[in-house]
Amino acid sequence: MYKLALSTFFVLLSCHVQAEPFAYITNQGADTVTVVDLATQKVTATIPTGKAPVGVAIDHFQNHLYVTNVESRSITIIDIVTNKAIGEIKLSIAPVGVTLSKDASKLFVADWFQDHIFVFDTSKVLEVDAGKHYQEVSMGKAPAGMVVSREGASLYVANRDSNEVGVIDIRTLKVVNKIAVGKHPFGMALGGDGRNLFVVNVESNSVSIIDTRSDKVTATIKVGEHPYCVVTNTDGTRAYVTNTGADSVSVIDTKLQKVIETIPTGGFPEGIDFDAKNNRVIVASWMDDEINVIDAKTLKKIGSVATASKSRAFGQFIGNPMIGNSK
Amino acid sequence: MKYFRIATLVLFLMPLSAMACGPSPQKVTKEIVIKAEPAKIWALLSDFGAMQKWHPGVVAVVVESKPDTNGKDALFRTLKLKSGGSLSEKQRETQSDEMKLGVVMLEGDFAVSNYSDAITIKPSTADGESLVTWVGRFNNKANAMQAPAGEDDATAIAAVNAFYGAGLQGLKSVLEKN
Repeated sequence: MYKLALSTFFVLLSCHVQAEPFAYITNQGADTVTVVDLATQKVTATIPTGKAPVGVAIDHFQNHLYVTNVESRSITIIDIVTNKAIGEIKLSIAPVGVTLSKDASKLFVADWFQDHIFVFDTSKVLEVDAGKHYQEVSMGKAPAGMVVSREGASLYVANRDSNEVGVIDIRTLKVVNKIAVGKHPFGMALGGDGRNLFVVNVESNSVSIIDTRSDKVTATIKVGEHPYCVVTNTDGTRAYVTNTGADSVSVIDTKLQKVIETIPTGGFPEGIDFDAKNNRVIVASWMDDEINVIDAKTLKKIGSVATASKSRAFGQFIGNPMIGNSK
Repeated sequence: MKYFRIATLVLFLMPLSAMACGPSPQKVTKEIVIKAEPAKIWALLSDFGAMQKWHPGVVAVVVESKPDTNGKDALFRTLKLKSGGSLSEKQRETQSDEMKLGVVMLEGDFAVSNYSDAITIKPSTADGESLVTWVGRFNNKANAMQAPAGEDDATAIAAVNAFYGAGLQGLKSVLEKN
């Protein structure tokens, strides 16, 4: 009885500790993922991956982290409960962007070179020949960032070299729409209310806002130099954009549709995600091998955590191993 | 037969070099400790047209102020190199309160593509000394993952290393002389 009470206590304790979000940062130059506890801002694990990891996606149902390795042309599958790699999908392509369907049954991988989206069945990704079993969707040129619509029916793909966002019907895997945006769309994020899709146009130094009900661009907002990725806060009233050429984050008021603040960051900021629990913005700095922590209320940088060489974290990189267990 | 294989290989590789920016950029970081206050180093480094005063590989600099491709006013410069070629660069936006500056390379006789960099000056641990860090991000000249010899990652990294090494040594000797 005493033992049971004690173990229950520890389970509760560990639940409490693990309920805080973690950032999973890909380090392209170190071939690792750095796991950062965002409550304590301490590194809790460093996990080896394939060569030159870039993109990340988290499956909270199976507690899997998917990492795209551009140079080894593979995807590392990591168990985020144990923080250990449990599998690798070998590909013939160079994967960059990666995301999951709402129910995490499908894994979407953007092929940088051959203009395809590869679709994997996540119930089979741990099989030995997983890399050979996929469906393909032909896309625009150089597909990069990908976002699934709020209700889960559509996959939006930033086709960088065709200056458009392609829309794929996830059920039929057919391209149903193409939306012209600025030059070289790369990172994308869905606003908190699910209505607006924010698309970063790298060479136009701007962000296009697409209304996902009509699939039309409703606004284009100038940001800083050579922007890369974007995320919004929980209710979608603010969007945060990394400007790789200016080492800063632009903060957009999405109602006013203009930049209201520019926050200095580490060098060449790339991946960006929102820590909803602590109301903070987390930014990966490629030049300085660190993440920067920005208070979303004061819009000030409040801390940095050292990661490893060439941090990129392209995708939604904040997650928690306990979220899946509570579903 | 062999030539046929090579030709097939070249065909296969062609789409890889058609990219605007490769997916796996390279990085070089070089540091040097200089016996000078950060402000004194900043005064020399922040003069956008004065690189020939400290970099032994640069013989002349021409600065031009004009709108960039997005219509925004920016500073451009052309570096005439001792080796005979030239480099065309655009000044990166920087935060004025930090001692940090950098450029984006537009074109030039340098074994890289998609090059941008940042130089930062920080006080060192010893009194009156500073730490100068030069970090570059770039792809190889071919901008391909399987690049031919001479346009590959190793060549690009060696070129940037040599350029930074000579530059930082030059900066140190100029500043410590006065």
